[in-house]
Amino acid sequence: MIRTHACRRVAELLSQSLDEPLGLFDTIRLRVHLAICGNCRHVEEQLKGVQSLTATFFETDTALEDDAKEPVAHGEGQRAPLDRPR
Amino acid sequence: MSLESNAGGASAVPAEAVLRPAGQRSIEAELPALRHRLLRHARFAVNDHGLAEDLVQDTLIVVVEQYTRHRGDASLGTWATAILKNKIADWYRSPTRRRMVQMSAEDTELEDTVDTLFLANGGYVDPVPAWQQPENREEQRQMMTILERCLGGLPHQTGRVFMMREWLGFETGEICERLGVSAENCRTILHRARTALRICMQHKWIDAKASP
Repeated sequence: MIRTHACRRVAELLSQSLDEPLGLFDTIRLRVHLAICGNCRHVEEQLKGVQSLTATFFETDTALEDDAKEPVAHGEGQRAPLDRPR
Repeated sequence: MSLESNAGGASAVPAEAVLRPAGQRSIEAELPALRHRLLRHARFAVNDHGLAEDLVQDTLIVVVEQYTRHRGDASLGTWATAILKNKIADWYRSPTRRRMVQMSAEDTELEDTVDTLFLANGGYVDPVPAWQQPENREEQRQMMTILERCLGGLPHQTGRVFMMREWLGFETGEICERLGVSAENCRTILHRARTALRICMQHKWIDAKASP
């Protein structure tokens, strides 16, 4: 009898699967575990949700309009970027 | 016409030559807000504030130089962020950069945070709630504000590795090589970063939505 992975190990594999293809053995065990474990399915959703939200945050312009309202701690003169020699 | 012929020049191009087409604000007027935004992003990916500032200013120089040649559909912010991303990735790939990364106690302590989620048998202590997709633009905006706060709460080196992977798009193998950490270590750092973010988002967003 093959034991499916415990949730702790599944969390590691879910993260790893976002970075590299898993081996056949781990892939199958992961699929079996996800089929029978609602907690780990939710973890998978959350991990993918965080990943896509991060991509959106860094790749698109949605935050820009708010930015000008907040002061910048390192603020020197506004012309500094242009005055800087190459 | 003269606008375009002047725009391709070096940094000596007078400010008048990089104006937007008639009726729009000059690019200079956009720079303070743009710099602010780029700095917020850069600081997640590099720990040193001076370095983040340098990389952002290099980016702004490219923005000013190439603005009139920029014909893409992307907005100014999106376009500039892509330039910044390349600048940061180049910095990580530069041979003169000091490679070793020093994990702090704070980074190591994340292990305990992850541990507390699990029972001795490897199951979850508490039920894991479902992810709540943002239902509209306003919710997505709120969610991103929370994400930014959660990213800011990650230990520095852990956050940096996460940003190299998820923003700069480095393969894990290259992250290990550039930072001088083992593949196993790299996996563990990413796993802890994602878990910490997941938990942070869960507390700040899912819970907030569940009990308004």
